[in-house]
Amino acid sequence: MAFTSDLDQITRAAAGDPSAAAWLVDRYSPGIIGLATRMLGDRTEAEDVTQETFLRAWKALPDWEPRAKFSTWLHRVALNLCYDILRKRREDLPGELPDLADPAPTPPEQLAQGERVRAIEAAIADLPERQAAAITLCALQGHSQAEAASIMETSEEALESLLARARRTLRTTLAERSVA
Amino acid sequence: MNRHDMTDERIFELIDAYGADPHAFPEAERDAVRKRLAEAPGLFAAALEQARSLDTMLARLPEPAMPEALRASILAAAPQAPKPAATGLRGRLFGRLPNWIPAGAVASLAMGLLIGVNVSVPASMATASTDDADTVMYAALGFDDYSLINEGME
Repeated sequence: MAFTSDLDQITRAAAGDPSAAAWLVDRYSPGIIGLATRMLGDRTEAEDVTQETFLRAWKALPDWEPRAKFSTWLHRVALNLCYDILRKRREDLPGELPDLADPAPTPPEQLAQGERVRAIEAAIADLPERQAAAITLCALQGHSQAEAASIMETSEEALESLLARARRTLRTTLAERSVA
Repeated sequence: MNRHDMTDERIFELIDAYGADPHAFPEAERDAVRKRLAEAPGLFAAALEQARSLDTMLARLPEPAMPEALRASILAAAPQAPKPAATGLRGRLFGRLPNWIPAGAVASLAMGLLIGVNVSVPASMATASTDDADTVMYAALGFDDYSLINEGME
C-alpha cells in the first residue's frame, strides 16, 4: 500500500522527521531526475528541476491534502518545471531547435554502446515536449496510463495518441541516425 | 473496451502506442489482446517485431543516478522539527525567544563592561569632578552652599 505508506511518511516529514524526508527523497528522486533528464537532455538543468521540485514539496507538506497522490503531484511539478525551461529555451533561441546530437548518419558498426545510448537520449529530448513526457512516463518509467495521464493533466486517449506519435518519430529519427 | 469488442485494428493501435509487451497495454484490454495474439500470431508478427526493436533500445537506457550532494542539499532543506522548550533559568528567561536574542543580550553586556572598564576615569583624577558634580546635585535640591551640607554632616 504505497499510498498509505506515502501518507504516513508525508505526515512524519512535515513534522520534521529527517528519516521520513529521506524516505521520500530516496523513493521519488530517481523518477524525478530521470523524467527531467529525458525531457531536457541536460544533466545540470535536470538536477535543478529535481531540487526545485523537492523544495516545493517541503513547502507543501504541512498543508498536504490526504486525498492527493504524492507521486503524481511531484511528477506534475517536475514536468511543469521542465516545460518552463523548454519554453525559455525557445524564447532565447527563436527559430532554432536544440542540437542535442549529431544527426548525420553514421554506420551502425561505428556506434559504440555509449554513443547509441546518447543518440537515443537525444532523440527523446528532441521530441515535442508532451510526446517526450508521455514516452518517458510510460515506456521508461512504467507508470500506468491513468497515472501518466493524471501527471500530464490529459485524458488517457490523448496520452495514447502522444505515445503512438512519439514511438513513430523515434523509430524514424533513430533509423535516420543509424541507431535502429 | 472489453474482450468482446477487441478488433485487429485496435490491437495494431495498441502495439503502435505501447510497444510489443502486453503488460504495457491498458489493463482492461490485456486479456482480450493476448487471446487474439494467440489465435493469429502471424497477423501481428511484423508489427510486434518493429515495436520490440524500439522497446529493446528504450530498455537499454540507464537510469540517471541521483548525486549524493544533491540528495544532501534537498534533505538539508526539509522541514525541521520544532525545538523543545528550554528548561531551567535560561529556559524561563529566554526559552520562548529566538536563540539570537539571548546571545545578543550577553554580547551587549560584555561590550558594555569592556567599554566601561577602559573608558572610566581613574579615581585620582575623579575627585575634583566628583565634587563639582555633587555641588550641582545639591544645588538642584535647593541648597545654595554645598559646604554647609558638609559642615552639618561633620
